[in-house]
Amino acid sequence: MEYWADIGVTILIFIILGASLNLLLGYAGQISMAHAVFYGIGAYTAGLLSLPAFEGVAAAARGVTSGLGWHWVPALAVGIAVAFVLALVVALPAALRVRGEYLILLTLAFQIVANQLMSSLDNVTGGPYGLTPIPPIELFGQVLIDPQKMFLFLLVVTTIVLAIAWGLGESPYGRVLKGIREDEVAVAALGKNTVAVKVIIFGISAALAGAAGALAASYYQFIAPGNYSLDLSIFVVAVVVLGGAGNLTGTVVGAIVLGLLRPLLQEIVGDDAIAWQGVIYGLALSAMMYFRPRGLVPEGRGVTTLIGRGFTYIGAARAMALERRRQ
Amino acid sequence: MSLQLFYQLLVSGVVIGSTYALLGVSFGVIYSTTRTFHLAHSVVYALAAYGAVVGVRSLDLPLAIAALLGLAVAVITGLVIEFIAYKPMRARDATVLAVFLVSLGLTIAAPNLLEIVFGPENRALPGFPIETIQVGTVTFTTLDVTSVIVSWLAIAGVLAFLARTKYGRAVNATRTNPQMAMAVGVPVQQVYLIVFAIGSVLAGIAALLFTMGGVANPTMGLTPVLIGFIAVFLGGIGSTLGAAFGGLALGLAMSLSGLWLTGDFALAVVFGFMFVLLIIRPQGLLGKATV
Amino acid sequence: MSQREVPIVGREEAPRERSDDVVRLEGLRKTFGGLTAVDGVDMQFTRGRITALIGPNGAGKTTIFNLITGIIAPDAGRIFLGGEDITGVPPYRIVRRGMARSFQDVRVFRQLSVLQNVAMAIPDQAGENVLKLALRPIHARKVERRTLAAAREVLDFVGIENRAGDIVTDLSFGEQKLVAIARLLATRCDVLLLDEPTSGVDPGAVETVIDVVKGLRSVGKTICLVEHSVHLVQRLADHAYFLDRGRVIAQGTMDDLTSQEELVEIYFGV
Repeated sequence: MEYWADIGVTILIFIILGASLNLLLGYAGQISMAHAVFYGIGAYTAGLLSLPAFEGVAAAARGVTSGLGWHWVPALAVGIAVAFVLALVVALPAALRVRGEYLILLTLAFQIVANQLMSSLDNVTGGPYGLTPIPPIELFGQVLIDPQKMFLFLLVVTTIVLAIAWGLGESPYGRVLKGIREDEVAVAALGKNTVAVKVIIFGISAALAGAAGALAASYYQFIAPGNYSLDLSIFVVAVVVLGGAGNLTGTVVGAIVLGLLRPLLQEIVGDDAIAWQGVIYGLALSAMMYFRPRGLVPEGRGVTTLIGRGFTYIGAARAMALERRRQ
Repeated sequence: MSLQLFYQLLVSGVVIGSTYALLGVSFGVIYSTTRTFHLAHSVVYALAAYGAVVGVRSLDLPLAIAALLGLAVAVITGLVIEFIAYKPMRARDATVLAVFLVSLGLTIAAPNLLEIVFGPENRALPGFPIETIQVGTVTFTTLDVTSVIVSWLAIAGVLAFLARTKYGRAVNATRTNPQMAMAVGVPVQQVYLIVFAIGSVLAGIAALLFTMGGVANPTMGLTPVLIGFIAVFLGGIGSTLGAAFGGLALGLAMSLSGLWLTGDFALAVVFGFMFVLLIIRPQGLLGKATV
Repeated sequence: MSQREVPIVGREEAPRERSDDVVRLEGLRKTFGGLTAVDGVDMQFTRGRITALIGPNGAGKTTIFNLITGIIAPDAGRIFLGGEDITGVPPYRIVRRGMARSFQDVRVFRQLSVLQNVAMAIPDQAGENVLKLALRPIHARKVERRTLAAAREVLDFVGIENRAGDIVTDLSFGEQKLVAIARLLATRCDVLLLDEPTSGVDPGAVETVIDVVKGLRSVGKTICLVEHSVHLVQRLADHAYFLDRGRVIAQGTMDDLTSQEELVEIYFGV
């Protein structure tokens, strides 16, 4: 039971990361390769603030990393704020230009540099081995260390995040996002300040990821640069694309499918599970975009369509096989 | 700051920079002509190395033949990706985002597939006579010298091809103005295949040079391609020589940063540099401003 | 077709001056590389009149639109809207000041519905601001209802209200152009620049467009039209500028212009 609750926690975190990236990538069509590092910035900020003063131990054994002993709520708030502000700074130069490649490169550069800094600024971040132990969340007298308790807590949080994402995405603001995805120049020609919109949605997306980071850190009680690498950024992109752009239900389904993929694969292929997972979602991503060359899948299609199509293909193949047998 | 260290790092910088120059030209010739963000170039790179490794280890081929095998694998891979993935998407009017994501998917899948087939271990490519040479206080190897020479020869070859041959001129025309080129009768489809072939061969050469002195492993392809891209960007998209010098500059910057920073910072330096450049001068150091 | 009610409300940020030359271009110049696209152009667009820009391909007509809407910056010259210098003002601000344009290649939002396309153009939507959305959600909801109703009115005026829920990509090209015109109308701007509003459109829809444009003129909009069809321009334009190679080589009523043989020759390249 604990095993599955733990997987459940992972899936919920993927959902939050996916939904927040969906706002940016799915609704607004802005490509970010840095989602993992914003997740990490939230984690590190909140983690450093909530580490007990003079008692936290950096696993690198170079001495102690001392935190400020803050309560998790203000630590979370500051974590969100820091992620938000940094995102605004990163997004602005790219927002001023229309070509999509700038944002890819800018976010890629930021992801790599920031991730490296997490590893290299030993004195602050605890270096490549990270920071531990991050104090767990205490809520209504419960300490959220058990997977089941954390799962329930995160379920509430995830619902809130999904509500925020849906509220933003399906609002007039969301309409502008979708317009930017389709044709940014045309949106500006209607009197909207597209630069401001792009920067702000980037910030909101990063802030939500940062929140997930802070909460996840208190559950795993451990923060290390390796958890916030480019691989994770790419993985979240895959979750969003496979689930369907602007389709939050699809994101949930995509996160569940991809989140269950590794444990399931572990049963089948054992140690190669991670590699097989990569092959599967890499090819799925390529295949998905290949069949939707006009851009990200519009609302209402995605994993669900893929599954539906899968059944259609299977059905057609069987029909053809039956035909051949008759001849 | 020790002068000896400086000279040593300078020489290493030239060696690394020459490989980066090669990578820059390899990615640049594809990107500037087809405008495809061909991240899957990393797959071509890795497969070239693995092709050679299989040649030496499993097929008992001499290094030279195995190297050719590796290059052949590289070219075939690059052409297959263009033909099966990018070309149909272009025909269906795909967006930049869509093509990038297809390429990204391949970039994710391939290293994992390599890991499943070959295992995650590093694999060496033995056979090149590596000897150390010492000039003054500076040391380098025969492979280093070979790398530098081969890289710049290859780059010169590409430049000559572009300037002197009929196909090279066709490539240039397509680069500058694809619609005009098509209207004038340039076989744009063939041009695309040509540049993918050239780019893949160059990437293969870079991969082989690297592996002969180091090792091959499944994830080896991504970083070199990203560096190749930064080199292209530094030099200005559309300028082959710019990409080459961009790569050289990057190699020198990475190496010389060792005067002040530890090794693992090197990549971050390179990306940090690009980050700043993107903000201040998005058209690159030598490029012209475009919207 | 009968005269229709035009749903018009002024825009808040529109400039105060009420002279009749709403848009004025002085000495506008733009060079691309070696090519001078616009070479010292002076023009006026007058309130309640339809001004046409005609001339052969490459004469600089769309470039002028791009210049005055702020998409590209002129090398020399000034642009005045309602007496205020708007040279260098970013495109979205120019729209807020009351001048909007449509595009030759339509540029509608293909994956959105017709209604959503037009609704996006309506100004002053509280729900587009994240803070207002978060802090005053009920107010935002109310404004959105008004916005959608206003969008439907515009669609009705243009004659495609029955397609409101359809995704634009399912529409014919002619219908998409009508959506683009409706979207332009919905901006509530006083100055409307139409770039080839009828090219590629079937004759029935062309009549609708003509009616719409005439209706807009009758309520005092300032309209400028780029059109290839001389016949259409004859039916609509009060005044026309004939451009060739970036210069105004003639101006006047369409009767004036079509009676000059040299112009006809230039236009048709005879």
